[in-house]
Amino acid sequence: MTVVDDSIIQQCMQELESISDQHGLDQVKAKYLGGKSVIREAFKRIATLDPDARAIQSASINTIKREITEIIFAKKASIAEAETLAELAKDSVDTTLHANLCRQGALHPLTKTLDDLKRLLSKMGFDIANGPEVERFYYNFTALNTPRYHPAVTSQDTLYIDDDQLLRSHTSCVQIRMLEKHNPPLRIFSPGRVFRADTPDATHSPCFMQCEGLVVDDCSTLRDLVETLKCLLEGFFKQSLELRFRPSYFPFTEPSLECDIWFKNRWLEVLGCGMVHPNVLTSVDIDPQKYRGFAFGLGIDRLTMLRYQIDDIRSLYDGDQSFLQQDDALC
Amino acid sequence: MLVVNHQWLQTWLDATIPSPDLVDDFLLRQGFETEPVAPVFTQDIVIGEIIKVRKHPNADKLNLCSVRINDQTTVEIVCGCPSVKVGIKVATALDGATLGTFKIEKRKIRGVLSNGMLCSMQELGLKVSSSGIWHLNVQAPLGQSLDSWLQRSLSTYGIELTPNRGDCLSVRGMAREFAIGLNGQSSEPWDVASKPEFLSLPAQKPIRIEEKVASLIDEFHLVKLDKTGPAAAPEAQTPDWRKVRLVEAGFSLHHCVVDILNYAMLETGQPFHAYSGKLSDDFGLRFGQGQTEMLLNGEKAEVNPQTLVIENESRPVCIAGYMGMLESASCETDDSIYLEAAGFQSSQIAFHCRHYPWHTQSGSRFERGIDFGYTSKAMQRAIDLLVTYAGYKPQSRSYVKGTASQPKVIQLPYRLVADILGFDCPEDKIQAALIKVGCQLKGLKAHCEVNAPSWRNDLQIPESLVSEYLRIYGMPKSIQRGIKATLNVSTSVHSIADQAIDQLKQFMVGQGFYETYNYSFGDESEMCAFHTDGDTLVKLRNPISSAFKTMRPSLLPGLMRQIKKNLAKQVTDVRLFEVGQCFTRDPSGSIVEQCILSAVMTGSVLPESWQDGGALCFAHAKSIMQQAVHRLPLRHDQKLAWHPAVIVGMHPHQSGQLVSGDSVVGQCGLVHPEIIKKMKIQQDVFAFSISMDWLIAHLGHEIYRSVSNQPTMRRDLSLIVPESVPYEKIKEEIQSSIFQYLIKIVIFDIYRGSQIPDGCYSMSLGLIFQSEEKTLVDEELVPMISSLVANLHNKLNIKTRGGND
Repeated sequence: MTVVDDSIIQQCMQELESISDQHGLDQVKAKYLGGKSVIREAFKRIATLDPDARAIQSASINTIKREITEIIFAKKASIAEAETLAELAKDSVDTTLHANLCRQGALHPLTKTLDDLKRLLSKMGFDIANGPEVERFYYNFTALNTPRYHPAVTSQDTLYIDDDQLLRSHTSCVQIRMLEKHNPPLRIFSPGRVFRADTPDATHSPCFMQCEGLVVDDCSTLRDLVETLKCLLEGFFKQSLELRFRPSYFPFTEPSLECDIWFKNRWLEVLGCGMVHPNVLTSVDIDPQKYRGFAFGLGIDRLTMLRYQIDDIRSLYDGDQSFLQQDDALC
Repeated sequence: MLVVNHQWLQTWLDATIPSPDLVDDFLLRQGFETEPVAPVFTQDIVIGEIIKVRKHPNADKLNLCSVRINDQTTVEIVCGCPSVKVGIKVATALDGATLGTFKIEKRKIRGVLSNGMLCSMQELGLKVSSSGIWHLNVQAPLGQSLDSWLQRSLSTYGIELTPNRGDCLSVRGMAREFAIGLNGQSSEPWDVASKPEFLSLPAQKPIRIEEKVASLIDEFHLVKLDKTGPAAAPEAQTPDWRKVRLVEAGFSLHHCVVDILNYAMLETGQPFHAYSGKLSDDFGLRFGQGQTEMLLNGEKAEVNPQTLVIENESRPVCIAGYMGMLESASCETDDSIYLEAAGFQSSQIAFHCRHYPWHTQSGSRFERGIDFGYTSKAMQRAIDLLVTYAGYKPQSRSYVKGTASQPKVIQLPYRLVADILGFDCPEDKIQAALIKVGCQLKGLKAHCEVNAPSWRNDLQIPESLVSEYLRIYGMPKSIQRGIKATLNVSTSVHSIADQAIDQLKQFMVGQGFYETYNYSFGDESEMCAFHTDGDTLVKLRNPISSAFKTMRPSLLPGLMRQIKKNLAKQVTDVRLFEVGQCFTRDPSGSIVEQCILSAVMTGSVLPESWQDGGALCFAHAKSIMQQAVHRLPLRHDQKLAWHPAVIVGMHPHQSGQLVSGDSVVGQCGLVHPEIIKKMKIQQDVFAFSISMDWLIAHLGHEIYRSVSNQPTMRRDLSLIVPESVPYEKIKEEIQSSIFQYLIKIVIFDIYRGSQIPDGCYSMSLGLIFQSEEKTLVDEELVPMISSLVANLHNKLNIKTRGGND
């Protein structure tokens, strides 16, 4: 004879199935484990049994009680979890909704190109140098081995304010300003805006950006120039490049070279360079017998257009926000 | 650029010129870029003769020409040119010929079959002024192809020259470069005597030379030539092949003498000038004396005391090396001429070329430097051509020698080549390269004495000889790493300034602004919008156009123009900024260049979305500007103060500036409604500008203060503030009454409405307190707050609403 049948466990489980809240659970708990429950009654009844039978019955009832307790606790946890989930569901948002609640602008593509060059040149030990945009004739031409009536000084190319002041036509003038103040060795670059009397069209702009590099020391050679440019251009284009150098002419370098790169299956002219002309050094009282140097000038606009596949230079100067934004995400 | 046909160059060379792409290749290696030239369509054209001309039966202006091509063939061609006549030789495009993309076919014109076309020079691609059909020389052989009659082939080279290579502005010079590229020799396709014949002519009156000008002149030859009798080809014509060569090279066609002299210049590089034989034989060289004369181009020019002139009697007849005067120049009807060939110093002619506004073929050759060693040989060539093609005969000559010379001996230490280039350059290779370009060497042990050729005025220093070495051999394929690493950390002012600008740019980007660039110049009235003082504007003397004349005194005009452009493209939410130089004149007239950051913004605070974006107001612009300024660590002695201010171009009641002492650090405001209206903009635009120069000059070091761990306390105040009291006054009062523990003031509400008395508004403030070392208690704050409330009431007539806490 048993005091409690273990079918009561089945019975409790069945009853719990339909329960979904704490209140219902409390009722079930009272029914099976409370003061008037079958189990409590069974405990009372076994007190009357003989000790051997009592031990056996007691163990059996305890097992049933433990199982029912576990079932109820498990149910309790699942109700709490469901309630939490229901609570969270009330705070649901549509995460697929288009989110654009903060602003973010962008640097200009020219600035991005220039930043890259600045970073590379700084790594290579070049120091930045700046100069004015309204420049003296002397710094723009004379000191750069270009006398006033030189064929390279055609007034059609340069924008003048008066006989002595003009808008610099290259950043090479900064070379002179720096060499006047600092003794070699010197390794500088000077980025900045330059001007030419060109009517704007797809490939010409009256204002554009250049970056000039200059090294003056007692041991520089053309080979160092080549090596420097290879390093710089490969760093900029992030790939190994074939470079081609061909003779050219600039009044302030001798020898003068144009540098082309093999890019997308054609030769592209990217910069002019050369060994600093002795007359340039002489003009800043540096002895060309003792010192030598090299210089190169990059067109930032051209590099930017190449890199970002921009085909009209005017788009760099017309402030079209949609162009500067380059935001095609519809999300 | 020199434009020359393959066939012409070939006559100067012993080596065969290869295909055009190979030519491009060696020219590029030698420093010459080639450009495509306008095509000339002579290859499909044959020479015909008009043997009969009839009126077109159905069209008044058309003629029906019978054109004989050879003994067997005569074709009928309809032609609209009025100059057709029997007996003339014409360039005939027959059925099937092409002129570029235009294919000639038999077709009916107004009902009559035309079997081809009679061509004008223009139709053949030759840039001449006349559009009439080309009357070829009567000797042109019937049926022959026009190409062979014109002694030309399909390839014509357009060769770009750098300014140092004036010697290549001639076929003679370019042929030398071809010879270098082809490992051959170049020489004149005519006989050159070592002593030109004309030097034996009887002498005329000597040429006067002012002592001052002697140093500007090398040789000066003048030869008088007469037309030999009436039989001497009165209508002497420039041969057809020469016409084409001249036109292709960019010359216009004139009478026979001018064409010959242009041609001889194109061949030899030596400019010539022909004076009328009516002048007396009294010629002289001197500086101008302020006379004004009419030049050959019909323009008047003053010859000043810096201008070197050739004079006849006492009248200037030519600006040396540049252009002659109209009246004294030779003309078609002259029976005799004086022919000049001279060497002038390049810098003097460069002055003429810069001082006078016109471009001349002669000037552009002299200013680059011509070959002083070739003047008399070139003169002989010109005389020979005049004799052969124009019926002239040289009669007498005069001559003067100046002292201008081209120093030519360069000392070249052999090791210099390797020193500059950084790789091995053997002596024999150096010598071979220099000989190849025409130098003569006198070798010593470690260096050689180099005589540069007379035509290479650009070779003056040993470095130039190094360039020649590089030109001949090119850069070695692989160059070992050569550069030595050095340590170099930059602390220069330039680098600090650059970093500061970069930092502010990044800040602006984070605030949703797009960086932009504008031109540095613009239209004057536009540039004045944010800058009233027209006298301080900087203007260009030679602007591209009046729209690009005035240097920007502010970045705002450009930015406003771009705002407008964006609005026109229906982008209504625009934030742009620019960092750039602005230009004004200071009271002494000197140009001041300032680096400015300016920004413009219009639209809403947040981008348009399903949440309220909020309309922009003055405070947004102000807060961005202030945060930008404080983004950089400023020196601690710099105290910035905000002042309302009336700023040009800004709304007078919505603008102000950040100042430090007398310096304006930044300005901010709502763009003046008048400007907005004038620009036809429909929405508010806020703008601010920051002086980057000031910020950079006052940069300090950033310091991080330790912060207190004690709890903060907050007391809120609701104030009824008369509209006339600026917040700055309230803030001053708070700072003086609450002398301790105050770490922050927040304004969390501003309200204007029904419960607030007229002329007042309600402002709710939160005062936040904290001590460094203890937890604050009410008793410490109450007395200060009470005194603040009393002071606000007494001094500023501000009432407190509700309780204190």
